[in-house]
Amino acid sequence: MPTDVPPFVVYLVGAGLVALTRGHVRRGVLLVIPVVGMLTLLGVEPGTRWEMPLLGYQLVPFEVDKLSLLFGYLFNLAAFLGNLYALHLGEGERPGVQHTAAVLYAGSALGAVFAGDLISLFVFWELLAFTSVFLVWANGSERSIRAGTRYLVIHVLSGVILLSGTLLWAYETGSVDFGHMELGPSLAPWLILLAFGIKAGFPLLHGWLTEAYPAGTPTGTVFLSAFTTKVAVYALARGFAGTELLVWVGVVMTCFPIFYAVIENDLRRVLSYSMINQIGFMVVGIGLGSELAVNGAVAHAFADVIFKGLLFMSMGAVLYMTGRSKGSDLGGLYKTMPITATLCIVGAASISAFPLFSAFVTKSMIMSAALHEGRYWLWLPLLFASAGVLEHAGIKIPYFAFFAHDSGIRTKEPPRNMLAAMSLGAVLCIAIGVFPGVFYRLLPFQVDYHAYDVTHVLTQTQLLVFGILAVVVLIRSGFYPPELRSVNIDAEWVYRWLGPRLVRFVGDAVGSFDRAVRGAALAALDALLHNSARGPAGPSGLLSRTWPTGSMVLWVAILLGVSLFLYL
Amino acid sequence: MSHDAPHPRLSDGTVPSAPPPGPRSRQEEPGSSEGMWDQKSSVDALLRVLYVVCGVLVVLDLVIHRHAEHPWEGLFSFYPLYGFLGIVVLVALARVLRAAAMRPEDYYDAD
Repeated sequence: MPTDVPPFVVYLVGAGLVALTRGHVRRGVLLVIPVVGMLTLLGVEPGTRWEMPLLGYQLVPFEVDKLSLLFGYLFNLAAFLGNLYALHLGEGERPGVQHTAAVLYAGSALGAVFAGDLISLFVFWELLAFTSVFLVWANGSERSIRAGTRYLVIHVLSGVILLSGTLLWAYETGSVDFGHMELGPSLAPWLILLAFGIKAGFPLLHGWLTEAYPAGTPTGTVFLSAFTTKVAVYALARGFAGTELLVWVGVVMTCFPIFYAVIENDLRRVLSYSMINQIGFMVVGIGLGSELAVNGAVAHAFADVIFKGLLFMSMGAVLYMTGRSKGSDLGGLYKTMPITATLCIVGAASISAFPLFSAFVTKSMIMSAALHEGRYWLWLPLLFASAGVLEHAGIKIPYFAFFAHDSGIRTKEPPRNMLAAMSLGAVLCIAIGVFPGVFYRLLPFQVDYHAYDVTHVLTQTQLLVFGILAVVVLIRSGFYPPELRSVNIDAEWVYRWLGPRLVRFVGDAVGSFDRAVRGAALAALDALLHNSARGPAGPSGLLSRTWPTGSMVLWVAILLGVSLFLYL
Repeated sequence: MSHDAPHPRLSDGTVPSAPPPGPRSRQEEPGSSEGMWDQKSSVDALLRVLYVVCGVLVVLDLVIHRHAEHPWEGLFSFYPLYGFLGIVVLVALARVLRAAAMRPEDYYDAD
């Protein structure tokens, strides 16, 4: 009888307590849940596996290995940061809904990474969607309701595709175990990869991400940024490591969003593009499949949750305090929010991969793996995308929010719990960057990798500092595109603009065809009636004439006469 | 930063303006209080530091022997050039993308 408690159970029970309590008690519960969740994991050994037979299949609702354990630590940490950041939520911000949904959402993510079979994974996969959507809906605006609903539909679809793939896989292999899969003639792994791809924000499947994340509540988006896509990264690492296709999908993910990020006005949407770009690096690492590359992908996922969380927290703080999140409406906030500005810059330096900050020691593993394998044409676009990260997340986010032109907005620092969560995130970003050795020991594979050598520090600093120089030159020359109140059409255009119009067009076409056919049929019928009115059956035709009864008697007499003549 | 670029107009022909600030902040005349980075001397000093650092990094490229794996990596000043040109190309292409993809803010709500 296993004595370990899966963290999902801690969160499920915790969510119940959060829903039932109020005030200080609830705040206490919110902070204790992730701590207990983390403690349960500290006692768990890799190799722990619970099995549960169901309808002839072996379900494994809880399986621990080094990969899932790392994500387990990460999600408990992210839940703690998120709960701390959201602790101040008061009346009018739907605190009950937001807190409960966030705890269940974090629990679902933990359930998913410890799911040892595809059926359990599917259950948590769908729970992720159903719990997180409340963090978008809780914003209350019509835009959020619509964006949230579209988000839910797309994620439920992803779950349905995962289930279809799972059933097909079970039919073909006789097992629902979640392990490595090869893409081949069978449809099943392709369906499962597609489901993972939707959640990971693969190109053209990413519309939900850039639409829903900027529509979430200031605190809710911090949770959203931590879990859904990282569960997908975990699932890809477990199921499809070494799949060549992922290398190329990943490269596209690193490169295309940075162009959108340059021209996007909503700073939380800039961060959403940035998120796709960062996941791109992870997907490349998973696709390369070597131990160094997969370690890099997983390490980068860990670092990304913290620095991207920190950036979303700083923009959430700006939105919470000023009611605005667009570059065109912000600026000059360093005067009244200096601490938030400083913490945001720490996040910006971390995502840009400056030496001594976290991404420097994580993303470089993926870049090195590409070089070690001689993938020179892969390495060049990745290096380009690295410079692009500096531009949109490293410079644009802090610059347009806190500096640039003075918007005239005067506010103050956000509530203390928000500052505490951001400070903790900033400390972790620097701690990972300064002490990578401690962090590397948690990674799934034992790899001898040293981030700090003279070449790496020098070249990365050169790349970034000359990138900054380029931005300065472009801004001062007026070539840099200004922030404009606008939207840029992207993948969601297909279902937000084209789809409705296509449906309307087809509806109109079918309608007018229907009208034409009915009209023609009615006209034909009319003509028939008209013609028949003039024929023998018409009102004045031969058959409609009235005959005197005498003539009928005459005919009866004739008929009788004829029959008499014939029979007699 | 130039602000004279044409704003995309809403479907009713008006130019969108910023929403009023939320209850936790107030709106003042821009520039009503001067901060450190409103002073030209601070910005110029910071930029001078940037230029000096750039110069030092190029000199270091000559002094320090880097190990290189990629055939282009060993070229003199490969990383500074790639970083600088990468951003210029990125921004130039992003301007093209803006010309093709930018729509008014109410684009999806227009009907």
